[in-house]
Amino acid sequence: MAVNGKSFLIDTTKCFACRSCQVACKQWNELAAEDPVPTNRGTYENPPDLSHTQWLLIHFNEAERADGTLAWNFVRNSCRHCIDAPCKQAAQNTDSITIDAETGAVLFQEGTRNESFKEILRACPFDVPRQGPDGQMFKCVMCVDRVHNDLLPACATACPSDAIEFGDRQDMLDAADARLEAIRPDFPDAAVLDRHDVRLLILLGDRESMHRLRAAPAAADAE
Amino acid sequence: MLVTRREFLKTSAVTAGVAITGMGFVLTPVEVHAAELRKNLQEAVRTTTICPYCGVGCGFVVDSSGGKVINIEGDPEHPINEGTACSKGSALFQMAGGNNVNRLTTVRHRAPGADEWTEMTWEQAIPLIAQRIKATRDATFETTSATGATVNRTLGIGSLGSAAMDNEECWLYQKFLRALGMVYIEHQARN
Repeated sequence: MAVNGKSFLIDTTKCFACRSCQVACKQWNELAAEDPVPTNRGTYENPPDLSHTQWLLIHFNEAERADGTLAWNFVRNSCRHCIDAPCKQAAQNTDSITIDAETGAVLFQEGTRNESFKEILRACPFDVPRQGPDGQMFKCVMCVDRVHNDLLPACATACPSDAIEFGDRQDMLDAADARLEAIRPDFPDAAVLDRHDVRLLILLGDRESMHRLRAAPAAADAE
Repeated sequence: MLVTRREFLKTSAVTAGVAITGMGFVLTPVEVHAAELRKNLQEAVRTTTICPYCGVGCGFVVDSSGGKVINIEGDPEHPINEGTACSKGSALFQMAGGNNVNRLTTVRHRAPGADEWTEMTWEQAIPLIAQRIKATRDATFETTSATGATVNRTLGIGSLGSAAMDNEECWLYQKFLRALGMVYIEHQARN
């Protein structure tokens, strides 16, 4: 059965890391500035990690390619809105984490403050959930309020390079395939991550873009 | 009805309980949230403007209610940015009055040699600035240059700014500065 609803297509080969998406996300969702203000870590990546007020982060990935040249790739990290969300399965109460019927968005409700953060975080393959001061958990909400009013999510609206597209899931999958085909000469290793499992379809140009897009197994299991 | 920013966004409604409409339908939290946003979008006054930052000149839509700005984002019908924005433009809402608690709302003055700021009213500050401009201008004004050319200028005052001014404000501002005889006039909105 085909999966309906909405999806993002994150084309990392088009991203130039202006981080307009990060700002637009904070602006629309009224998220506070990071506290304390992050300090210089020798990278333009900022802030250093997702948080309960930072639902989307552009990683500035530096890596050395096999041929010795240097790669500097920009990759979005945020909730993948999994089709079969492991975080929801890990929740004790069915209404703590819900799936929006129209879009398929995975939504953390107020009830997440009664869930075990350790269990929810361990369930997430992508190390995305973060906990606020009162225990409630937060992450990307797919701007469902906007989407239900025929607006694009704030990040997709703001993106000046078309690196963030949003629409009906099949359209996004088709767009991803078309893009993969188009960039194949320049990016022979290009791939879409977890295309059957998630609604945040991340299109990577090369394998050097890959790191920090998975929860480290050791970290997830460490107690 | 006045719509506040909080009501406009209804962020908390994503996580609100199930509500029943006047027509008796049971709506899910997402639908409640979306229905309220739709109503507020319809009631808001939509005004177009141009971003005050760099020379690209992106178009923005300002949603306001009762004279209060409740949202700003890229204008999808503007030919330059087609609804998109850079990271500075995406934060434009914070420039609109009263939306950013970190912005100063009073004049602050640090007296020569002092190590701390004191608050001052505009009524005190503007005459003080005017007096100093006049004193410096009077002391440094040149009617002719070293070669005898008529210049009517002062090299004693310069201006840098402001990146937050739009094109028309910049025009007005430099008219004022040139009327004083200033020639060191700069503007830093280039990123």
